[in-house]
Amino acid sequence: MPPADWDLLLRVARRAKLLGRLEVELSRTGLLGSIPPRAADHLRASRNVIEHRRTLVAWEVNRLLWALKDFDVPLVLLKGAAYVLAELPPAPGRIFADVDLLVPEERIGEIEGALIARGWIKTRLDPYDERYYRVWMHEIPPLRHRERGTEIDIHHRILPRTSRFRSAPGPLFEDARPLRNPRLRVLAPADMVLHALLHLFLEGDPDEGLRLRDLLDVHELLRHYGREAGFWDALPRRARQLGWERPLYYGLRFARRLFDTEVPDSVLEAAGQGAPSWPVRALMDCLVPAAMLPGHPDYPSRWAAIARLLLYLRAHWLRMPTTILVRHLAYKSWLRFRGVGKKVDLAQLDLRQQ
Amino acid sequence: MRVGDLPLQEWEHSLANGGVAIQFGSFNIQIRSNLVGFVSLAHYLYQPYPLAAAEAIADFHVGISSPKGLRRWVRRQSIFSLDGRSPFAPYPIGHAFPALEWGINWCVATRAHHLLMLHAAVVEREGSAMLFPAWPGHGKSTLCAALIHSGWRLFSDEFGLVRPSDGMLLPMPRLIPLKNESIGVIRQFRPEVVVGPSFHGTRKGTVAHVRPPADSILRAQEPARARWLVFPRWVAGAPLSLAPIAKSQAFLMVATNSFNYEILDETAFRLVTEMVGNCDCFSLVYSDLDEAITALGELARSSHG
Amino acid sequence: MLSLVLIITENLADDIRVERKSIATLEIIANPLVILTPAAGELIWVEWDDAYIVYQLSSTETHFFNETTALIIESLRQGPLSMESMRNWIMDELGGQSSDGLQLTMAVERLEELGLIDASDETAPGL
Repeated sequence: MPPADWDLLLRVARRAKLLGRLEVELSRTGLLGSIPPRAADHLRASRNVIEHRRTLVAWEVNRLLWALKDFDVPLVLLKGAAYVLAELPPAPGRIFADVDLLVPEERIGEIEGALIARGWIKTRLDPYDERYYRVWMHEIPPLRHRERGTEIDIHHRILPRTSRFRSAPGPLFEDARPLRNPRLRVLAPADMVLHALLHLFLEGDPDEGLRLRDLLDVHELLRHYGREAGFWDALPRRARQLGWERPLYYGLRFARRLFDTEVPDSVLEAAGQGAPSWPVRALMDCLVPAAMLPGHPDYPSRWAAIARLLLYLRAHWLRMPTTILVRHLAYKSWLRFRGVGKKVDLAQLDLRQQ
Repeated sequence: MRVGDLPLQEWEHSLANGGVAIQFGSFNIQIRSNLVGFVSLAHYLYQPYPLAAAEAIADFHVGISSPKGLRRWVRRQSIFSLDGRSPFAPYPIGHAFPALEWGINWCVATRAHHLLMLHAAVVEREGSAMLFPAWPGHGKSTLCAALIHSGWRLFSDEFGLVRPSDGMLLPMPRLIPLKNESIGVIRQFRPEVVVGPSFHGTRKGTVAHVRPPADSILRAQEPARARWLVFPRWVAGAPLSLAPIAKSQAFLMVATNSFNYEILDETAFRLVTEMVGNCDCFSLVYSDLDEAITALGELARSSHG
Repeated sequence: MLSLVLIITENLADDIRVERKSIATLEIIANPLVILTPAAGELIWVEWDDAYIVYQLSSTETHFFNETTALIIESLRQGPLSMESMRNWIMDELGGQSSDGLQLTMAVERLEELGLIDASDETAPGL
């Protein structure tokens, strides 16, 4: 491949945060030795960061277990921490910054207290954000150990209470599977896929849009668990049970479109129950790929920016009722207008580059 | 081919359309700009730097340009961008050049994790490198600028780039930014030093850039092994002191003065252990630049002895 | 054994004042048996000028250990020890000097927090 293409590939992969993934694939197929050394350096850099972060996540879980030694409480790992500790296919090549945990709501106070007693610190938030978290959100503000950088996000449900896709977390706990260390659990396969889809469609920001790598995770999980007996039956059934049919429908649709994921016809049919009306489907067919696929870094697409914004608004709309949404977005825009958002000061070169 | 080989008009045109890729030691940096003031100054200050080969991959695509909207015309600003994105605070248009220089530092520090990046000035003589890890404000850039005009080759005034495969240091001989009084000190030290214009009122005070001697730039692909770790401190009126320090102390100071020691895990630990083990470690206190240069020269001579 | 409660008020860069009470597990259990964790088996030691610089593979952290701390880990290499036995072993190693009780306790607590030592599931016999 000519250097100009490598140049562009590196830039685009970096923007989509898939540089590490590229490195893993090239390494796996034994091709790392045949690529231009300059490109190999960038991939190597990415790998170093990823391996470092992975160790940090695994260690944070180790410390978590130590701090909660006397607690008999189900600790369900979510997202990146789950992928890493359960050694699932989405783990290689991905950067994971935080540890996400799901615990029963009634135990959160104790758990938070135990962690603080053992050296973790609460994130200080302004009163608006603090209230936002405690009242509306599905998680408490992040905790961070005073010496380490890794954040722990403790969730008591998968989605905000206010979300249009809300559902009680009970069934998730019931079917969670233990890891080698029985004190840790991960979501059952169908739940894990559904959670990843919710995460994909309900989060994201106007700059980055929907994350392609999150859809790639879903593709990988489907491929991995697809081999397990009973998985394909469970998936649409669970989606129906928990009220998450719409995200499942979109997830399967776009995974097939972008990654050619193999999904049994019966499942597609069952998932079709969650399909939206035709105009909505057509609109999403336009918006999602535009918001998800990375563009050329030097020639940004106006249309893609619009798609990203629309889907960002939609994600918020799905997370909270309209009245609160309007207030929330207004407040956040006002903050941005006042320049409260973080802009990097180039003159102060931070030595701690994480 | 070097930057200076391009006629100014062509340079200006290329920067505004697609950018120009320049080699700064181990890094190829593609620069774009539509700012006239910046363009002509850069043509002068980057004059001896080689252009990257036409088909080479660029490590970073950076730009320093005018923003869209009102700030293009009123209270004009310049915006540094990396890969078309700019999460960076804007600078007044008159500070475009220092902004780009700092921006490139940022790119290296946040991305070049295939190397261990120490926060240190590095100079070389007869195949051996001397590193000056230091907190900001302790005068390492001034000392560095003086050394490279006293027989030492510049690797960098900011980055000690260590190659993990063999522990060798890699050069990245860029312009050295001097602050406030240091500018006058260096002009006085060697009147022939090439110093760019002074930029007043920046976030770091008054800043001017020293261009390294041609030799440093010509030999920018030659690595070297670390031989001395010197922790410098400029103290007004202090008598010269060059005293050995404990290796454990040196290790601590090198590891805490780095951009990515934590990220490189075991590799970083081993590289720093090796470096400290193989180097003679000193603390240097000085007030007179000439005295310091002489002392360091003698140190180098006696070690090679 | 005296249990120690440390209250540390920390001034953090972003202006959060935190009061932390640290109660390591080892001090709550009466007469614990102390063991090395698997993480302690993955340490890289470098010794310079009577200081130990130690890299912990499991956490990516680099530590600076003094003599006492290093001896605690050394003492546990053969197997679990009670705090009493550990203290005696260390005193022997230091040539009979009475080891500072407070220093030992703090080092033990620190090592536990770093995940290098832990209370065994069994307790020491007797007492």
